[in-house]
Amino acid sequence: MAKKGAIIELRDVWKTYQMGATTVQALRGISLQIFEDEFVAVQGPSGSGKSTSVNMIGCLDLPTKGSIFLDGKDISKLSESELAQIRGRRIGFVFQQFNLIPTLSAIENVMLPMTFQGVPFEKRRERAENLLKLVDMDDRANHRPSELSGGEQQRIAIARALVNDPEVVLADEPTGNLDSKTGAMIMDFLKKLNKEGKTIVMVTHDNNLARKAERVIFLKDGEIVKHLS
Amino acid sequence: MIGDYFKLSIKTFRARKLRSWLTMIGIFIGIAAVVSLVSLGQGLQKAIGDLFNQMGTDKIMVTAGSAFMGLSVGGIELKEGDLNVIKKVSGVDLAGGYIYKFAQMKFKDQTKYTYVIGYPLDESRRLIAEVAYFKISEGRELKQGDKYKADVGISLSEGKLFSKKVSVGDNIEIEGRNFNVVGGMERIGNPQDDAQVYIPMETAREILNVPEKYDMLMAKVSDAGAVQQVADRIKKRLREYRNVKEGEEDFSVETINDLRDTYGTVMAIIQAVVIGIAAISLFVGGVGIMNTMFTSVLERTSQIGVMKAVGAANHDILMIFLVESGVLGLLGGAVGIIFGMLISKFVSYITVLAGITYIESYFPWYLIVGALAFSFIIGMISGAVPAYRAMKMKPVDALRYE
Ligand SMILES: Nc1ncnc2c1ncn2[C@@H]1O[C@H](COP(=O)(O)OP(=O)(O)O)[C@@H](O)[C@H]1O
Ligand SMILES: [Mg+2]
Repeated sequence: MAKKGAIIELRDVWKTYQMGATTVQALRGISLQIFEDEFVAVQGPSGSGKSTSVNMIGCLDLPTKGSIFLDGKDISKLSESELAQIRGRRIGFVFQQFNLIPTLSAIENVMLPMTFQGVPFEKRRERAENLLKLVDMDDRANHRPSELSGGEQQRIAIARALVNDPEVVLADEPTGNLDSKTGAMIMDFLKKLNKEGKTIVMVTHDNNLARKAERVIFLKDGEIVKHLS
Repeated sequence: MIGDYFKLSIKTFRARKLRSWLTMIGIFIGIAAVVSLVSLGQGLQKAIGDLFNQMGTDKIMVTAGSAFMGLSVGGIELKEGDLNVIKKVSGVDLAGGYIYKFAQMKFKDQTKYTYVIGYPLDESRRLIAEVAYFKISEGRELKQGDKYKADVGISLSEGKLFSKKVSVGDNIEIEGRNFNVVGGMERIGNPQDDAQVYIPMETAREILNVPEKYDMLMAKVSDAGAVQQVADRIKKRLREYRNVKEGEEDFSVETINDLRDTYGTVMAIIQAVVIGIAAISLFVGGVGIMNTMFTSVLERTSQIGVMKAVGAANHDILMIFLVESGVLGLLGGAVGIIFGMLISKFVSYITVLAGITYIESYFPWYLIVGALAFSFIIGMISGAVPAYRAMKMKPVDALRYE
């Protein structure tokens, strides 16, 4: 049973990837809960399954074995389109590579997730403008990603993650491609979002950043080896 | 929503390489072929339809040998007796004929050779004029009682055959006889016809030494609806008169409808060839678009992952790529339409220059819209498999793709 207040729960989640002849055990029986309004950091060596578990939390992938509960409901059997709906409305993703669409301007990138939710154009633009203000990028609205610095791109990406007002923001090494100063700024921003009521799960290599989280989950070889709170 | 897919696809185009535009050449050629075919086809049909309507559907033409468009072949001749047979066939209202012969002509010390038409002066004159498109534009027609009078084709009036213009009142010499010009003809359209000189039939028989032969016989039926039956009766009577078996006729009887059918067949063949070319080009273009789209899907794998992560459902991804390939087709089609229009304009321009009838090119809105829709659909069909592949990508795999 999911505990009261747990938005997302992974219960004994296993994930096996088939790479040609070899199988990779990315996750081996992970169980964890993400509660409302938390700031959780995920740490661990490269290849330990951090991204895979965050993707599971974000309904981007389904387990080979085990279950995922969202608000106490098992989502492991949902169709790809139903999962897309959940991702679009309730989850916001921030990636290490920023992953903005290079052919779209900053504001168009921010508007994109609303397009998939059928939000009318005027409303999309208004909301995107507000979010660009929030991340202090409103003066760069019409620039293309290639014309922006890494820190600026990541701020656009955060605005994009927030645009459908999700409950949970998942950030997979959001500062991994940024210098430490810019990284600290992004971190402060995520902290601020958390104070305003967003649940945040952040993968990071940086111990200093991880220390600012309420809870830290350590992964190794697809298992949780340590859990600090 | 569909508008958003369009916007998204337009954005990708500025990043496109020349290579992907080149793949659209097939679509471009195919659509150009279709557009020029349709736009000229209508004009051609109208031009020919007008021509036939002018001739009238109540006319029957009889020529010696097996004939195509009044061109007699072989040494077989039609004579007065044949004309009399035709006149007596029931349903025939009026019948007549004319002769033509290449003859020497002199005007102001200049000598040329051109066709002389021996033209009946009786009531059958109207009939001939209608079918052969002889229309007076200045002066007067030949009339009963004229002997050494002539009407001249427009090439002579315009000073194209002889270096000087031949006007009403001038004298010209045909085969050594002097003729007084009483009228000039309207333009027929083809240079040879426009250089003709018309003289009374009896005079022509005398000076050209054609005592009995007719080059063309014509009949007008009293009921246009029964023209085919009358034509069949004429054929039967002429067989009896000329003593030939069915299927071995040394003459041919044609109605305007037959001519129309012959033209129709020729047109259908031309159309089939052009459509064949268009189909091959469109197929090649379609393969090109498919190839471009496969590349595009592969290049944008991680973008597909991102879009799925931010909430794009499978049908969104499918539509994004379908619309994109549709727009590729559409752009190829748009260029093709412009090119097809230029081709049509050019063809109608040279038909005028060449003096053939004026073939107008038509560009009705439904041709333009239809061609655009058609090229869009071809693009979408070509992009279907790549788009399906994009849709089926697993978001995590797509995100990991470098
Ligand atoms: N989509 C995938 N296909 C195949 N192997 C994968 C896939 N995703 C992850 N893996 C493998 O699973 C293991 C865990 O990967 P990941 O979760 O990305 O680790 P981390 O984010 O901690 O570096 C790695 O060995 C990786 O190569
Ligand atoms: Mg990772």
